[in-house]
Amino acid sequence: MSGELLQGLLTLLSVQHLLFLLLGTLLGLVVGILPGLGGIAGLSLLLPFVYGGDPTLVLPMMIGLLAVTNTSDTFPAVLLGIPGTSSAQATIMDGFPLAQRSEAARALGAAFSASLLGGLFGALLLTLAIQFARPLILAVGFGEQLMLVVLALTMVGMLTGASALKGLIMCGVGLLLGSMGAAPATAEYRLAFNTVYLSDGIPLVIVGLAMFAVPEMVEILRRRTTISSLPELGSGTLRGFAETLRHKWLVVRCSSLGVLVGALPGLGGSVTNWVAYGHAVQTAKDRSLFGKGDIRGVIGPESANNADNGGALMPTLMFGIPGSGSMAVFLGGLILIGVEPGIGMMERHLDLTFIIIWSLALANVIGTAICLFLAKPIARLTLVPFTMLAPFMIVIIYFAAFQATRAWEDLITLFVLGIVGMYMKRFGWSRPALLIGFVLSMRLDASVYQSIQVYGMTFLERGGVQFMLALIAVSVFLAARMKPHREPLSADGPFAPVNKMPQAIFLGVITAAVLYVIYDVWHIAFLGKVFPISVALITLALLAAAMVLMSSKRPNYVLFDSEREWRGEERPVRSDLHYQGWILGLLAAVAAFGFILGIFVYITAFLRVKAGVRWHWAMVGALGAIALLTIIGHLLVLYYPSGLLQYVVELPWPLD
Amino acid sequence: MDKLVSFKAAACFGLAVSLALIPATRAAAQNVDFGGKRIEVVVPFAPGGGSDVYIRALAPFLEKHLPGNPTIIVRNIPGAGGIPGANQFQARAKADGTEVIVVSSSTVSNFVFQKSKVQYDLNKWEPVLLSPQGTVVYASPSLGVSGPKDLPRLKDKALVFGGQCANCAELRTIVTLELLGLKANYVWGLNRGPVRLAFERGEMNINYDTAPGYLKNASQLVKAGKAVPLYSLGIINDTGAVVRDPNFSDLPNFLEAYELMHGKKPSGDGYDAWKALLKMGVMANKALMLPAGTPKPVVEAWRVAIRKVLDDPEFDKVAGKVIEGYPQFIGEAARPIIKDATTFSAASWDWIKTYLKTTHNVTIQ
Repeated sequence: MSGELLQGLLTLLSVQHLLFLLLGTLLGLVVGILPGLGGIAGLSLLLPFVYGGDPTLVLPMMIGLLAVTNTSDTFPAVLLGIPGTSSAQATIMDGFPLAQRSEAARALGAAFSASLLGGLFGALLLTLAIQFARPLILAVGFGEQLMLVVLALTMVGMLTGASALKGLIMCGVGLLLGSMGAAPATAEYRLAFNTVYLSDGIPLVIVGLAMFAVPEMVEILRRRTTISSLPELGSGTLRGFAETLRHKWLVVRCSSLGVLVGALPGLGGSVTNWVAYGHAVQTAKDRSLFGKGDIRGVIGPESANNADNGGALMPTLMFGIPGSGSMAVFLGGLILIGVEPGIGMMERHLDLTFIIIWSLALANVIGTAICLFLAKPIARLTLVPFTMLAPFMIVIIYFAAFQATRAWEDLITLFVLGIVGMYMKRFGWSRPALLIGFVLSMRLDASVYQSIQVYGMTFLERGGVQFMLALIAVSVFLAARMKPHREPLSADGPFAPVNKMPQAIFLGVITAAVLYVIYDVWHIAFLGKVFPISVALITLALLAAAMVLMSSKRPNYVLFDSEREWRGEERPVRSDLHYQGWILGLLAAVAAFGFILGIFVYITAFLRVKAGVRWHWAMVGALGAIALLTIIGHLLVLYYPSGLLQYVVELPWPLD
Repeated sequence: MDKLVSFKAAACFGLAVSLALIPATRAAAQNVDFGGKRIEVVVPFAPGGGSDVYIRALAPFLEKHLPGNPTIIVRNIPGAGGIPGANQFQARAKADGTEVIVVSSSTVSNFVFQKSKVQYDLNKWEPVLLSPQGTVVYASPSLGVSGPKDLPRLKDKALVFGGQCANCAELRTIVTLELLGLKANYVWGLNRGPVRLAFERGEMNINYDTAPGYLKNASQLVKAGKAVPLYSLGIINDTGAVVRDPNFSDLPNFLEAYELMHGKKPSGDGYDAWKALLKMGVMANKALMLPAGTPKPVVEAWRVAIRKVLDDPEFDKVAGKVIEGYPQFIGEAARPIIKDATTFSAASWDWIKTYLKTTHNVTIQ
């Protein structure tokens, strides 16, 4: 076997093979940086070229692409607070605050080096797994899958923010939001309002953008500054690299988690990064900086999401069952080149398997090298006046949302949820808690039902289930013991019982939404409604407790309004709704003129009015944006929304 | 019985008409030219899935044989069982031959079972190619079966069957279990991949796959002694009769399996309903269609091109696997099959309605 291992490396080291690998890697970096696009979009682009090709050339290209999307997606996450792919959501938690403290280069250095080590670790485990992983994966039945989902859910305990009660409520709301769509047990539609759009639930990309990108953007716009608080970038990428090495055991633990979650059926990249982040918080002694820019909060998820690829390749190669969406496309690609994964893959195609593994390792090295090289110059984005960045960011965010299902509803959903996210930030409701609940909801519902349907309650007697129950107990214990680091209560601070009306209204809206869930699912079959109704009832009980605390006359952690954090002079001139109005302006422009013309009008107007840029320079900026989007749209066969104008007159490409 | 005759007659008529028209339309088709154009194929499913692989295997050969050698681009619009993709195609596709759609059995089944969400009219689209895909049912040897002859032994066994939902693609298979008199514990909300894993873990003990999935994956389980093939659903031949699946000619078809179980041939409303489901799930498994209102010469140009693709020895060598040696229906020959797959007699519709309600507590309109 070691002979073949070496042979694989030698094959790959020829010029032609390296070129194909490099091509895939570069494309992977590009789709990783662009929010809303990821491995799926990139691989679909490659499929026509894959067909009938030489596997030893085509495989490095496909793997190169898959391996690095989770490396480059860190750029927008750290620098702009926008997740490049859904695997980069947790990186924002500490990466973006670091950028705001002028330490973007350091955060990127740590993130990329962690990605590299995680990716290499994943490739190493995949090599070993060829011998051992099959029985391990087969040992994970429905009961164990359920326990895995519950274990991931306990990570919410680490991410509740100042008030554990409010964190749990948001987790409940996330679970309910995620239960939109066809019920796993009965295929009846829940909360779909009889629309096709919601019959699959809300796309994860949109929830991620609404919870993180939009609220952060509005807040920085109000401060009218740059992202970085200092005019110079602080310490550099090398320091970040050194910090990753210092936290080597965190890297090993999070990479192992990444491989494990990636390899086991049911979860995947969007969960991995949160589990790793939760684990990083759990195992830290000093937690005071988490959420405010702790480098460990970057290293943990970044090492996990690259290791995830090695894990996800295991079921793909050994069982012919894709471990994630992009693996499904990869599997399609394998079929097109005549490679049949599944039982016996290792006997039939051992040579190709090693080429895959080496490609994974080499692509991680190449991708990291390119990203590290670019880190410092790109990090200077955080020094640009934010009003000049903002219109481009708004356009990119809505571009990303539209790629979810390519329907107008995507844009409207993002706008509505963006407002919810903004108020959640203002009133101190945990956004990660909502996101984790959302991601896990369908899996939790399905695996509870499937475990009981197959085993009755006897699934609890299985060894694997009991082992994982013990892990869950430890995780819950750690969460309960955790004292979140929080500001002291004061009579005039954000926790004070002054002007409670805005937050009381928000609480009322949440309560009404939860009550509506019960009303909506009441008429469907028992197996379809038992999950949302149970969650809704628990959430209502927690909401009642929150109401009691909110009506208290003394400051407490349930009360929170960040508007009172502003003091005297700093107080922004414009309200948050003023900027939501500007965001709505984009939707209006697109509705009137279609996407390409609409963003031209919008960016020009924004740059002129808000950033004070001269008209002609504003137009040059807008032209640049539409040129870029047109090229990407053409190459990736994307489709952009059309507006009223296109209904009235037929316009030539790309204005159609 | 009269349904059968009408299908047969229609199929023969369709075939005859399309054959007769070929010489005439070849000339007309020559005026159609896609030179320098981009042809867009809408696949209402995710990349990498069955429908996606189907068109990507056909695409390079279509580029070669369509007049003017256009570039073919695949646009995936995944989600909600393919309904949004097909709805968008109905609403937006230009009827000039530059936009086509891949129709799968889910598209057909949603057209029948999800009427309130469907905005497309399948019977108005112009079929280019219809590609059947067989279905094989297999069981775990732990049930004490070693081959089709042991089917009767399954009678009092605790069967566990997994799938997406009762009125999804699984319907054609679970109705055979019902007609065979087998009782199973049904576990829903699972895609094919996870079900196969659960079968391998021993959590499920009876399962099915379409021909490509079976040949690629399940057949390896059979070789390893972890699965036993029981029967294929069979296919419908050009006289309208259910016959053995050409890919699994050593396996009994469902009719023979029924005889093994009950000692007589199947008949009645349940059987009629199943035959419509067979057309829906097996005969209409994959298809390529142009939008309604596409001009006749353009439609014919497509049909001529697809015939050339199927006759291309290169295609047979490189991509033959996507059609797995099943009879292919070109143009009008496909229309009666789709029509039959979407039309249920009142009696068989009632049978399905009652079956879904009583066995699965699922209500259909």
